[in-house]
Amino acid sequence: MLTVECKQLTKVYGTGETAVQALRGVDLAVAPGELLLLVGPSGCGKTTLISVIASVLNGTSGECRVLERDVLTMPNRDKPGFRLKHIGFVFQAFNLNPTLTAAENVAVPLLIAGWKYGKALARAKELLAQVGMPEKADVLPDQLSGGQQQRVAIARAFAQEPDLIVCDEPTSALDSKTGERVMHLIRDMTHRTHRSVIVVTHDARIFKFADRIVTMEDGRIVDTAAPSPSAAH
Amino acid sequence: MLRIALKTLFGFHGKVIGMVVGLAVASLMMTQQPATMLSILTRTYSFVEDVSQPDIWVMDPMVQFVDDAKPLADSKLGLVRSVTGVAWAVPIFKTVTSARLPDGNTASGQLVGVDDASLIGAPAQMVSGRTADLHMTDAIFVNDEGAKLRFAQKQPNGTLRPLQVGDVLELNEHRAEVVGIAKTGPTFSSQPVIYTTYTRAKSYAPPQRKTMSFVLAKTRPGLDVAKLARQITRETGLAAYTADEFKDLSLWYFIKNTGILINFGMITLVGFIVGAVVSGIMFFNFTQDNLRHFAVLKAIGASARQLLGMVLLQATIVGVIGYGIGIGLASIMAMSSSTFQVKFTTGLLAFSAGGVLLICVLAAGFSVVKVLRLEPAVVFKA
Repeated sequence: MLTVECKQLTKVYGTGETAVQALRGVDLAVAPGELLLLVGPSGCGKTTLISVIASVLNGTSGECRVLERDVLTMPNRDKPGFRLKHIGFVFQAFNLNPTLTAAENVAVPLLIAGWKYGKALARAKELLAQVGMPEKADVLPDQLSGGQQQRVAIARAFAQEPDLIVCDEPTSALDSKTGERVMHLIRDMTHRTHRSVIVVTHDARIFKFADRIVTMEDGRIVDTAAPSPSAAH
Repeated sequence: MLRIALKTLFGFHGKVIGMVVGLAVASLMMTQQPATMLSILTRTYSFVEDVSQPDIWVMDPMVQFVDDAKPLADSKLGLVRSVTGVAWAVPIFKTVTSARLPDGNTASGQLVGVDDASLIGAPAQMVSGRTADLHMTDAIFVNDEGAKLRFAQKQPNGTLRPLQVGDVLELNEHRAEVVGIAKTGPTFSSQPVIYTTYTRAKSYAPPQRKTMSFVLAKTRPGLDVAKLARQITRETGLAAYTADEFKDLSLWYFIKNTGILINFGMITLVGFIVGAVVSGIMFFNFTQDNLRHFAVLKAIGASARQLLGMVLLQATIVGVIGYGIGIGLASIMAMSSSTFQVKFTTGLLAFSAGGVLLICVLAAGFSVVKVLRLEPAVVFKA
């Protein structure tokens, strides 16, 4: 079973003369345990594609099956529950709540899922230990470095043990060393837990972490390749 | 989730303080101003409340409020007594007089003359002395507020000594000895009230042909008070009201003929508007500032119900704190005034709570619409 399978997926923003075709018939498949990098110039449709796959944006036509459920035809009322159970998010700007501690930020998906606060916090601390930050559980985000904040965000993405994790430019706000560490972490957690990860990036330094690199241009996939041997890990 | 909502709320100290202050001011003004107004309006009929025994008040048809007594001929008393269903009827005299105090100072006050024999119309509660003491020669009662304030006498050391039992006043060049201090409701004009017998009151007041201010009547047991009042009106040509009707008559006279309702109402409305604008805008801004975090929660999988619950909880908490502080301040202000007693009724507290609730509902309503309409895909925008 594929984690993601898109066929002739399109997305049009707006209508009439102002309509913008962001996706023009995208075919894409992501296997379980695969770390896929989605690359391409700005405005080529990468973020739109992961938004549709993550069911935070409605596609216009075609098919986009995530864990065998077509997110294009899925009722809107079912989407929050589907995302909560199956999809994790890592954002470029970390998007941590500044008023919550690192552990509380990690616990957010669990609390949304109805976990008791104490149990969720205990699980969050385990996850923070897995990303190498056991001592930062009670620290607020603004007391953490960018790399540490992103690690907290990664722990949060893995909290509900989702089948698919979408990462939007996870290293663009980090220096190269920290970016590499973050990608190491994402790759290790992906392979260890056999989850699928789609990473949108411009950052060529992290190409070597990919199992596969998909290049987009003007809303289409124009190339699919394994990382070059020189960049391979 | 609710814990997240609370931590997020209190994480933004400045905004929370602003919202709470706005709501506290609104709550204070919506409580203190109506309470003051109600306390003033209550004073317009306190005399009726102090005279508890009769259930019907009979008067000249032109009387518009309690202090607007128009003298009646004493013969009217017999007319009222002759109406079937009246158990008893007694006269009461009410006028304004000037009193010379033991220290030589003068002060005006209300003079009330109650039935010589039964003393019906005398205050029910005494701070010192007994009601029957009014039968003594030259005896008068003074209400406790008057004794402590207007009739208080300056001592050589500059302090004020309240009027006491045994002190002697001079009323229209007649000796009047204080034999009791009565507990009565505060009067609208804050004037002291002097109680004495009907006959003695007539001698204290300037001579006039008609002296009776009201006839106080009691309905025979088992009869309808309001119906008897209508019957007295029909048979005597006088106005007869139940005690509650007479209170309402006075109350509405002041509401209609003074700016009291408009003035206090305006200040109350301003309090509501200021609270709504300040707190509403701050709460809306608080939600706006957190839209990205709401979007993240939405993207992760929070349902509309969970997000609604978070916003409502935040609004409720701010509302409860603001309301509590406002009520506390209003209570402190009321307690700090020794000369003007303000009463906070349950209805009044419910009124201001309703006002604060309305502000919170409006603020939360506008905010939550933004949150619920939020496209979760915005989380991918840098």
